[in-house]
Formats: sequence, structure tokens, C-alpha cells
Amino acid sequence: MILAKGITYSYRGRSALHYPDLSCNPGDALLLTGKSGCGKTTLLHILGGLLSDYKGELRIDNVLLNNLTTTQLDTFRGQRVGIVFQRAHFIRSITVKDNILVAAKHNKNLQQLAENLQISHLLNNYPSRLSQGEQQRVAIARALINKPAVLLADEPTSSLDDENAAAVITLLKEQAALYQSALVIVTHDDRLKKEISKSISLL
Amino acid sequence: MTLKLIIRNILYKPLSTVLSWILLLFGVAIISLLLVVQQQLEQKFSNDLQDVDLIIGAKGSPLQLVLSAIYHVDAPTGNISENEVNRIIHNPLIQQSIPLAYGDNFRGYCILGTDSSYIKKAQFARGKLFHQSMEAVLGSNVAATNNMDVGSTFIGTHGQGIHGHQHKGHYYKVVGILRPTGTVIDNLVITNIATIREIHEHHDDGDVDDHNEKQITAVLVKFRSPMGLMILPRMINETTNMQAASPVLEINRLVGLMGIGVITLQYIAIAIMIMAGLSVFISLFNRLHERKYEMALLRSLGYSRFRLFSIIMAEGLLLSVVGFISGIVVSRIGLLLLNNYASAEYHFNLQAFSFLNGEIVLLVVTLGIGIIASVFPALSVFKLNISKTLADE
Repeated sequence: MILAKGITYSYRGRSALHYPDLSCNPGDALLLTGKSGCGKTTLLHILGGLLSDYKGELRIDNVLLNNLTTTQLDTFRGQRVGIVFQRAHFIRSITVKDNILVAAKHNKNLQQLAENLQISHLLNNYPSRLSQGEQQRVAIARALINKPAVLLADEPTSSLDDENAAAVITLLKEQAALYQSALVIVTHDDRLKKEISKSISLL
Repeated sequence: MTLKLIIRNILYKPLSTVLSWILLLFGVAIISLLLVVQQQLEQKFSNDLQDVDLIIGAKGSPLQLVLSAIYHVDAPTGNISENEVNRIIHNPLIQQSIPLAYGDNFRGYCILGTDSSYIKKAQFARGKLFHQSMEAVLGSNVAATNNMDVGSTFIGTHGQGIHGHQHKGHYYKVVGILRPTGTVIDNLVITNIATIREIHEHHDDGDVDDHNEKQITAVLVKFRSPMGLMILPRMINETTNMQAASPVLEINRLVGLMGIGVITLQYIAIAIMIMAGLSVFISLFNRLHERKYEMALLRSLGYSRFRLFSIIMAEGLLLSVVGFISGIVVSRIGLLLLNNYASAEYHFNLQAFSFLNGEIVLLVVTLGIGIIASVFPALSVFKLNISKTLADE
């Protein structure tokens, strides 16, 4: 469960970004749309605990993130938040399997997750050898490995064709439902509005 | 997983890692080798100098006299008259004097004519002291190397070289084997002075010692008080045909001369280690710049700043530890090779596997270099803006 109220954020020398209140229950999906530069990624980073100098109230799993110290926030993020970035970031020196497990509490979920995302055959490869679609699926696996309360995805389909975009969104929704994670997707891709009914437009 | 990450990160750029490692290895190996050799030489020198305050011998180089009379690694400066020696050694300042007569060898090991006081501190492994002419006591290395025991016989060779003229017909009989002493005694064949004289009086190559008065090669002197060292050397050098050399003074001079070379090598090794530190620093710094996104990613996955700081520090430290261990291994291999040479040429055995206090300091210095080289790159994780970094790529 994610709940955000009265979130505002201001970059140095720029007017503050005011975000609408939002909430998303476990297993549900929420789409955040808006034009480039409206602060979509910034909001996603706030929701993911990557930015902490915002105003407002943010709760995930009934934990008020505003009250956490930096170290507590790190631990919370590692255990309760999964993030799929716009571009798949990997640690190039380790295998796909180790990239997924790099922050995992344990590896019990790995096999099932790899089968669900059809990446079992890629586990011993290095990230540089993966296609874009494969990278996206591995990034989703890494985000889900700790069964997070919140799964955040930043423009997950921006560089994919229709077929692959639909497949990624289906995967995200299925896996979020399976792990009872609240799925929040930030996008400017109108194709996704067909896939996810609940959406908020950022101005 | 963290250890795996550290190792993988170190190995990800093998060329720069190998460069840092090799520089550390050579720096540590050179300094360690110098430390061990210097320590063992000084120990060896001081062991053999016990109970010798002064050496009296023929005029010539005082260092040569010391090296020949105490360490038996140089030719004697000549012979001196026993009568002249006797006039000196009865001086009340002298507590003990040991006459030495040498100039022959057995398979490269010096044959030394002396009296029982020379080996009074050594213990017999087997047999007893020589009492008659042509009886000999062997130092432990001589007996072991030549597979000899009590009852064995051998022939001496004239001079210091093993290919010199053999004193045929003069068979030494081994009557005793000494326990290892860690001193030059281990590498000596010891007999009485009468034996040396007998062999050379009947020298079969015509080089007969036909002097009317008896001669010896040198005398080791121990004084009752330091006053002896102030008075006697000057008196001997100025009023007799002999010279007096202070072994401590000569050896200090020799060590001092060697020290210039040692210090130069030490500076070179320190420069190599500083370069190694710079190499580790540059390697980590460059890698960190490339790994900025990976660091931000790990932070987004829940790694704390302290954990990332520790990972980078551990990379530098691991390189330092590996560099130190391999450096020590290379130093010991070098020491073994050096030992083979020193053993063959000078019958001087270096102990390869002792670990020195100086090497503990070297370990601390190496770790210090690793820490200093890693700490600045590692500190940059505290300034990392995760959101901006991940949004930038």
C-alpha cells in the first residue's frame, strides 16, 4: 500500500513541483502520466525513497518515510521497494543471476521468478550480452526479488515496440498481482492507458 | 555476495589491477628482502664478534684481517712472529688471547689451527677435542655437507681455493663433530696449531716455511676493560711489525658502506610502493567514475553509503594484502636463491622463513597505502546523488 499526500518538491532556483495526492493498494496498478519535464521521474524517485528532501507525507506499508533516517530509508528501500528504471542499469562485472541477487534477502524466489519472466536461460550471462527486452525482464526480476510492497516503473515501455510494450506491461501487472505489490508506473506513453485503468495525469 | 562483488570489481579491469599488484609486489619484495638480508648479516656479524675486542695480525688491510681472522672469507694478510705476539699478550689489560693459524682448506672450508679456547662455547655432537697432531674437529656444516663422522680422514688443500695444491700424505683424522652454533665455527675444520706447522714445515712443493722463529697468522684478543682498546691498538700499530684491528670498527665501516647501497635500494622500493599506491588510487578513481551508475543502482537497491564505502575500501585493501603476501613470497624465493649462492660461495646460510618485526611494519605501511589510495575514491559515495545519477544516464 502506498499513500502520498501534499507532496511538493523544488529543485534549486526552480519553482516547486506540486503533486496530487495518490494511493495504490497491494496488487493494484496506478499510471502516472504527463508531458516531459512535468516531474514524473522526480515523483517516482520520491515514492521510491531515492529523494528525501521533499515536503508532504509519504507512507508505504503504513511506514511514514519522512521519519526514517538515511540508513533506515536505505534498508526500507532495499526490502520494501522495487524499482524498474527507464534504462536498465546493471553491474557489468557480475552475471545476470548475481545482478538479481545483489540486494536479495535470500534466493528462494529466484527460480520461480526466472521462470515467470522467462529468463532462466540467461542467468549465467553477463548483462552486456542481453537484448533490450531481456534487460527489461531481468530488471523486473531484480525489482521483485524481495517481494516488495511497492513496485515502481519509470517509462518501462519507452523504447519498446507495441508488442514488447504490451508484453512488459502484462508482466509487470501479473507479477505485481502475484506478489501483492502496489504497482506505480510513470509514463508519457499513451499506449499504456488501455492497459491500466487507474491513472493520474501530472501537469 | 559482497565479497563476490569486491573480487569481481577488482578483476573487471585486469590490466590496471595487475599493474597495481605488480608494483605492490615488487615494492614489498625488495624491502622485505633487504630487511631480512640486513638483519641476518648483522646478526651473523655480531654472533661471530662475541668475545673478540681486537685482532692482531700482519700489516695490511685491517678489514681484510677481520674478514680473514673472524669470518674466514678473505685471504690472511700474512704471518706474524709468535715471539712478538707473546710480548704483547702478556699485557695485564688482556684477559684472553686465542692464536690462529690458517691458510689451508678442505673442500672450501677453512682449516683453522688454534687452541681449545676457540671452541669452548661450542658443544660436541660426537667425539672429543683434538689432543694430538693431525686430529681435527669439524663444524656441523662441514660434517653434514661432506658426510663425515668421527674416524673419517681427509687431506687439506693449500690456500683458499678448492683446486690448490693438496698436502698429500698428511691425513687429518676427525676426532669430534660440533653441534650447530650459528656462528662461523659451523663452517670450520679446527685442529691444533702444531698440525698446521707440521704440514707446512714438510711442504712438498718446495715452499718451505723455513723461518727460525715460530709463526702464526693472527691472534684474537679480549680485554679486561675498554681501556685496553684505547691503549694497545695504537701501541701495536706504532711499535711492532704487526697491526691491530678492531673488528667492531671495521665491521661497522663495512656495514656502513653496504648501508649506502641498502638505503638506495630502500628508497627505490619506497618509490615503487608510492607508485603502487598511486596506481591503486587512479585505478579505483577511474573505475569509480565508470561505476557511478552502478553505485547509484546499489544505493537504490538498499545498499547504505557506509556499505558502499566499505566495498571500495575493501577493494583497495584486498589489493594491498594480496600485494603484500605475494611480495613476501617473492622475497623468500629471492632469499632462497641468494642462500644457494651465499652457501656455495661463503658457506653462509640465510634463514629464509623467519618473519621479522620490520615486516610487520611493512604490512602496516602496505595496508596504509591501500587505505590512503582507497579512502578518497570511497568518500565520493557520500556525495553521490542517486536520483540525479540514475536519471542522467
